[in-house]
Amino acid sequence: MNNSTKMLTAVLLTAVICIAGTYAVAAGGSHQDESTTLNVGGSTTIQPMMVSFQETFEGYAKVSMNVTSGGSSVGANSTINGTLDVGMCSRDLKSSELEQGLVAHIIAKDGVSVIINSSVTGVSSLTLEQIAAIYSGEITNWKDVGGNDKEIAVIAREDGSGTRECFDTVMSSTVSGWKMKSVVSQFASTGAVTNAVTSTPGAIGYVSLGAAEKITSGAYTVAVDGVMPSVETVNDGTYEIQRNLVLATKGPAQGMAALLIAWILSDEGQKIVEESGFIPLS
Amino acid sequence: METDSNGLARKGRISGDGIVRYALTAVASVTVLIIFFIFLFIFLNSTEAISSVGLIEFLTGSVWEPLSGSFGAMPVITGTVLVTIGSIAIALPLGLGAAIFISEVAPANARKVLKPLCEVFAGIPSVVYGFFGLVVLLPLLRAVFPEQLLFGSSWLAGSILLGIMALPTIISVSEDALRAVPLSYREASVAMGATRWETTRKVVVPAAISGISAAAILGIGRAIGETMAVMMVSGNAAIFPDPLWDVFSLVRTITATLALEMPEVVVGSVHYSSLFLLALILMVMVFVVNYAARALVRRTRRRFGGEQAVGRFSLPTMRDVLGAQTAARVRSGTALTVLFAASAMAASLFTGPYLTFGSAAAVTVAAVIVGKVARRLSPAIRQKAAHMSLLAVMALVLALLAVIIGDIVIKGLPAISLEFIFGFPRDGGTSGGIYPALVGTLKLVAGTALIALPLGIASGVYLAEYARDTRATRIIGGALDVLNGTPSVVFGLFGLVAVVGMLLSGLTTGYSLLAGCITLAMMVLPVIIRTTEEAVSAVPHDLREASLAMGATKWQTVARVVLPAALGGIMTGTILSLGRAAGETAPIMFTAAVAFQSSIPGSVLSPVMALPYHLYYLSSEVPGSQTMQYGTALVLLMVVLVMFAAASVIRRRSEKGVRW
Repeated sequence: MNNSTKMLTAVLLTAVICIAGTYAVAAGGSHQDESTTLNVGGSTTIQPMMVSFQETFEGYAKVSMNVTSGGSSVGANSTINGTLDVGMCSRDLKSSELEQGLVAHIIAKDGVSVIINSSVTGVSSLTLEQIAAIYSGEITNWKDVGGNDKEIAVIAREDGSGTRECFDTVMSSTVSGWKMKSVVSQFASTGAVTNAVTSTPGAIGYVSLGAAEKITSGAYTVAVDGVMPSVETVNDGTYEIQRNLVLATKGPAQGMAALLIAWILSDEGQKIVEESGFIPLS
Repeated sequence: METDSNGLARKGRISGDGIVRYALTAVASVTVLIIFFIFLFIFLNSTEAISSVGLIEFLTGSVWEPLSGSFGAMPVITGTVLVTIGSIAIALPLGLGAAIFISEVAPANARKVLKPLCEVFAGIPSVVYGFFGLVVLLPLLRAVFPEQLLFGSSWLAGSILLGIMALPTIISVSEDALRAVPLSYREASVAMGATRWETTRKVVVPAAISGISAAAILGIGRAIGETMAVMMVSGNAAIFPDPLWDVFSLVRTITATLALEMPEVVVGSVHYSSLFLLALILMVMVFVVNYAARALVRRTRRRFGGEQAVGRFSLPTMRDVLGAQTAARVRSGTALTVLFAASAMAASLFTGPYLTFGSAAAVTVAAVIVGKVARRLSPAIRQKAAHMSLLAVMALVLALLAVIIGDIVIKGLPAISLEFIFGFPRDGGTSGGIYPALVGTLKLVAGTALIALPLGIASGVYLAEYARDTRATRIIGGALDVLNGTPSVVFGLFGLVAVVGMLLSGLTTGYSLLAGCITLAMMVLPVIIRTTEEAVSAVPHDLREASLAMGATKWQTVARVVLPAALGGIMTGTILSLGRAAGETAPIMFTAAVAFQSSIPGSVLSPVMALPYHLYYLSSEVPGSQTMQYGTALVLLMVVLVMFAAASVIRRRSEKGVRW
């Protein structure tokens, strides 16, 4: 064989060895022992709180947790097919998901705050009807609800977001036949909506209660029907825009998953729920 | 290879060449298989929508409200088309101008600095571009157009951002193509008395048209397939702009729709399937654009009598039909009409009908006057003017880069500390460090390179040197370009279902580094193959013939003459694709990435943290972490820049070797 051929053979052989080696290492080596790994994933709303749980729970239960995202539905589906042990859903489970064997465990409640850009003055409270009218396009200027003369820039979450579903459900039950108008800027996450509302003059949007509380400048939270969102008002139901945060398991929770859920529902876990900006179960 | 007593090669035994040919064919076939599976995956998942909704209804329906059962994709398709046209209108002139400047106008020393600088654009992750769009671009646009822009997010913002993102691809690949034009062409032109600018315009650029079109196609593919950044700045309302050319309107692209709705959709539902149908439509669009671009190239080649100037059937050019002078008049007439229309459309967004017509007429008349004046000027002055304009373009590109990088550096530097780089995250990411994410990204890039580079370079060499130009190879080429335009979120889903769910399910459940590497490798494969193919094809035949004439075998020629000469272009493709791999979020979000780890995993079957994902996670869900976000972005940028620098050095060394 001449040099070039030798070189090529060497390269190919190396490549084959590398790939085979990777496989061998992966398969036989020190891969994660499944009994001490917990795969949790799904809703991006719950994810930061789950990460906070992880920081304590891993040491407490001597387990290694993997917290991934992808959305509530990805969480539910991956739990159904076994990729995840626990799915995070920022909404109640759908009947199709329950039919496939998922069991729901409510771990917290979440309020949805309505926030308005600071350039709008004179609006500290809105009724549900007014909010519905703003989002359906009937009201287009802030002066029609007691504010200054500024066009309303309507911001929402994407079709299918748990937060949006919660908001839309409340709107639909307030005004029959309610439909969101089409000229609405949509964003994919709490952070993005917060960003947009704080930086767009005349904007209105809705985000999770905890996120709204962390806004330091650029936007403020309005009261809905005179009620400001808080742990108390969500718990006693006076704040109307709220939803459940759910963990899903395939079949009843077992082993490490059961331990995690039980721990989250304990005082220690619920304290972290509150610190994360969500509403602990009373 | 055995030689006889005279030192000449002997024929007629098992040659190394045969083995090589076999090996390369095998590798290329693997690549083709991968491409085929991805297409199959997308197609199979979209059949449900085709049967439930109906293809015509889907394509022509004007209401996209899946949750109420309306699957009219027209507004979303229109959004993609509009934003892409806008981004190409920005990126192509800027990119080509900068490429010509670097290759033809700038002094040789400047080139060493300018080309890597332009490639830095490619290392900026799409999430960071999205930030930049949100924090710098949108307020800027709102300040410049307060009457027209209610939101800031708009078609215009999307096009500008995408245009910037497509720049590095267009600049780098075009520049390689321009540089590859043989010196003899330029010398011949200058010998006949042409100025440098005339040479550039009439000889060099047409000769490089194949590479330039490849650059444009890759750039368009990048723009069409971009998800994160466009989602953050284009507003995402599935409406038609009214009037259609209202660049200040909210729009929604197909990729944004996929990214927004895929995470929350119920797997197996009609909605799920219709999202895949959207992806399929997107790929068809990319295919059409590519086909048109290639047809254009073939015609240009014929006009200039290039080497591969033969086609079986082709439409006669305008020149053949009308004669040179009339054709030129038609060309300028068309250009003026287009100018008038464009000015009218732009003006109509700002004022009423009279001023619109007036300003459009004024612009057109001005263009005619400038044209007439320019023709009177001497070639030397025209060259000066051209070079000045190119310099201005280059300056604009560099200024953009400075603003984006500057934004990241200024806001990210406060976060950087030893603890930040080597510590673990705490308090949900609001304090502590990002060490596991840094390690994870390095592992992802290394793994991706290990898989994609051998596969890609071998396939590219095969396509360029060994494959005959049959329909099959052209189809593969077309498929590669389409794959390049496929949104990253589609790769992520393919990774989730096929790699995590099927391929690796025997070894591990859940996400893993390996799954992420495989998915990323598939995503960057088309770029590597294409740039390798272009680079290898650009090596002049004289070199090959000389080598063969001295008795080398085909493989020896390829390995010792062609490849070293093409190494520069191959490095470009490597740089661009690994930069993309390091900064992508969607593919790893569904296959490998987690938000928090308290220790560095030892096995490739464990998931990892990664810098772009960490950035995305912080920006979406952890309010008040802006400094950490920018710090993460800065570290990611540093990682990518180091990679680029290394590859640049390799490229420069190789280019010193062979110059033709």
